Amino acid sequence: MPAMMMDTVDGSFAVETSGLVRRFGAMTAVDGLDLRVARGTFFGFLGPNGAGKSTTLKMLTGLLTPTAGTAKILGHDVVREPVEVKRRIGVVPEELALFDRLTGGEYLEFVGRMYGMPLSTVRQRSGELLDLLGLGGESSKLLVDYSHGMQKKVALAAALIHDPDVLFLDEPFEGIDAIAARLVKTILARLLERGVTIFLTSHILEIVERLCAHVAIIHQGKLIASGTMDELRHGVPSGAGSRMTLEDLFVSLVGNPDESTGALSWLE
Amino acid sequence: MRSRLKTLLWFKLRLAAHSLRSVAGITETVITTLMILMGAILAILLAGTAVLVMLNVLLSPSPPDMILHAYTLAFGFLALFALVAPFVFGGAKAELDPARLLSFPMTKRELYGITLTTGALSGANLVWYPAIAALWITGVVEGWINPLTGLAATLLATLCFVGWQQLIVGLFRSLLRNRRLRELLAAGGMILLMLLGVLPNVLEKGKHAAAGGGTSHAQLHLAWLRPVFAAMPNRLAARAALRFDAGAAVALLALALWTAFAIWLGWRIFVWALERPDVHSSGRAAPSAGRRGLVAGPVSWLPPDAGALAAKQARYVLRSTAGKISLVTAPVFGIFAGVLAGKATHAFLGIPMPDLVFLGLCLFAAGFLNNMVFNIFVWDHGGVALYFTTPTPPRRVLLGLNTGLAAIAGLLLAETLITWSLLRGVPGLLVLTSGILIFANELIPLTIAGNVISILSPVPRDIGSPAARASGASGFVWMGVMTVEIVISGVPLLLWNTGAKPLIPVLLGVILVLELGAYRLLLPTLGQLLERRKERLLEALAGAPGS
Ligand SMILES: Nc1ncnc2c1ncn2[C@@H]1O[C@H](COP(=O)(O)OP(=O)(O)OP(=O)(O)O)[C@@H](O)[C@H]1O
Ligand SMILES: [Mg+2]
Repeated sequence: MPAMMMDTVDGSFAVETSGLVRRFGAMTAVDGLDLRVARGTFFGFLGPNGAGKSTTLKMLTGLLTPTAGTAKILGHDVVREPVEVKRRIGVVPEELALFDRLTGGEYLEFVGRMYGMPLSTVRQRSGELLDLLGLGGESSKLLVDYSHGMQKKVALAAALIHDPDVLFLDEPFEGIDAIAARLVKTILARLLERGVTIFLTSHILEIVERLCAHVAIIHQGKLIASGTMDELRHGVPSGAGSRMTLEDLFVSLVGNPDESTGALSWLE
Repeated sequence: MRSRLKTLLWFKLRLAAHSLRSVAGITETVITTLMILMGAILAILLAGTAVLVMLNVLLSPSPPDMILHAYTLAFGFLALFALVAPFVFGGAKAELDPARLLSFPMTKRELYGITLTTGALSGANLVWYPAIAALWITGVVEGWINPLTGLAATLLATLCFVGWQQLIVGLFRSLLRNRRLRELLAAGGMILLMLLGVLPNVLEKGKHAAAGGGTSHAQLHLAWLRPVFAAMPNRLAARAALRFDAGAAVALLALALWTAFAIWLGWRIFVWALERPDVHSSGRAAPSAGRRGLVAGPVSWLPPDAGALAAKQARYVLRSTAGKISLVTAPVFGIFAGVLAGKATHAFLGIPMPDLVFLGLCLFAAGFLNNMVFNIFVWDHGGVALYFTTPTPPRRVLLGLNTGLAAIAGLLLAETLITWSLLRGVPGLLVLTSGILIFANELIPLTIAGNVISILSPVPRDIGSPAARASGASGFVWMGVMTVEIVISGVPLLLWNTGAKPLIPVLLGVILVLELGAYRLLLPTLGQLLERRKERLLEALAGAPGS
């Protein structure tokens, strides 16, 4: 009964899905996903390539409609109350989706205004964000002329400009240099202190291990493990579980034992 | 080298096959095939015409000269066709960029050879090879040309045309990698094309002017062109094919030199392009594009999100090649209409011709941005995702984008009105008001229809390409809307010769208010359509190249 109570209290969870399904034709990309992410946590969403991470994220952020099941963000249903959801979330999508014929400054201004923010606030924040990310000097350059890493930073800035409560980041560390990565980590830590929930997918498990208090692993659209690092280690049958890194855990949970010792005939 | 060549040809085939895997790909392929078929028919028709001309001139006094003339023309036409074919049939863009093959263990020389060969065997060329062969066969059958020198000349000419074609394709491809240059070229090219369209008229006028005197000045000035024409490859090929003498040998040699020069120059360009650093990622600062107030100011009365969308859309139009071209063409239409009105003296339905032309110009001006009105997401690519991840309701996304386009349409109208006024004086208040109202009355239904088509069949385009055109249906829809609008706005104009003439703008204003009401009522439905088609839209636009 207490568990039921938890479920029905509005906004208990930052992210909550139940039986979430998404099919593409005959193919099931996300298969009955039940996720719960408490508010204010740093949540790592892991899985091998093609596991369904981005598909899940797109359903949570309004880019894809679920085939079945429900998803709630801060107690608001993503299908029935999309505007309430979108007001509260920030998104860095997997494929960089910028308006590349705007300058960095214009783009951030555009995004801020799309959230209905007053122009003066938008300008102030976009200036601060660009300065913080080391793009202050580039604000009058068209985004198409930015490098990949710079575009990634602008995408992050755009996701932050309206001060979201839940931040969805699909592989934010891909393609940025070590200095920028550290900067992003610092910013994320500061957001976490402010009570922002961060939902992150990444293939860089060292970063996930260091940052994320909670981790979930999906494989072929299904949740195969979730919990804190310690809880995950307990789930592993082998006795050495207690000293395993996230990478070891990931491989042991997801990897196919037959393929794990891959061999190439001409290297024998 | 042989096996690699085979691999590459196979690869090109696969690329073509893969493009068939989406509806858009199939449409594109069907259209391309139709265009190639049309091209083939054109080539055959022209080759046939050339043959007919030749048959015809056989009966005239000095046939050999005429045959030489006809063959020169035919070869010239084929050369021209070869040069434009890769661009018309899209091959120049769809082809594989050789720079991407550099990671394989091949020398540049091999790579160049492969590029030339695969280029020579591309679909665009297969269209005219039969035509040039037909030229040779006809000549042999009719006994006009010596089979041997004829064959040599035909083969060399083919090689020469392909060589020059590949040189231009290579140059184009390497320029393609520089965004700014490419955009400039596209805009410049379009303007050049427009000028070329005007040129025959100008020349005709010049001819008429010169007709009075004996030898015209133009002829005198152009005399030096004769030897140049004689040394052109098409002329050389015709010369070598038709007469079996020492001159033929010289012509063949010259033709071979032309070919060798093309291949050598193509090689230099090829190497230059490969070694050039990728311009795209060089961190040079672009010219500032930050004239905030210009675009952001006038839309501040809208809700902030719609205002931001309108400003974004207006900026995009002004930064696109198609938009820049329309900024240039709009006053041209004003001039054109002004000149036209100056010639007309009679009246229609009691309306003096100049006034009628002016009203027609206003009606037409609403369609200047048609390609964008019918394809509002044309340059957004992956950016459309933002429309769905932000809390802005879909109807306001449409409202914002539409308003941005309408603002630029108004700018274009202002341009035409100013040129018109400079030519013919400012129209009377009644005519001016009526014109602007007719413009607005046309723009609104276009916008509504355009939204439906933009949502149902979005076509992503490169912002640097002069085309922004949406699906083929848009042209018909435009005609339809314009016809309906001519009828609707035409009714108030019937009052022109009555005492109720001042009522015309009032009635037009009533129509505008009704249309605005309908637009407001329809926007939520259009927004729902946008929301429903979200996934298809993202799929169609997001994967597309960003620049
Ligand atoms: N629009 C689509 N149409 C068809 N299939 C799709 C579509 N989007 C995703 N898929 C399929 O759904 C599955 C999950 O894809 P998804 O992008 O969610 O994986 P991912 O976990 O994000 O992988 P990665 O780590 O490589 O980013 C894949 O098999 C993919 O092919
Ligand atoms: Mg992914």
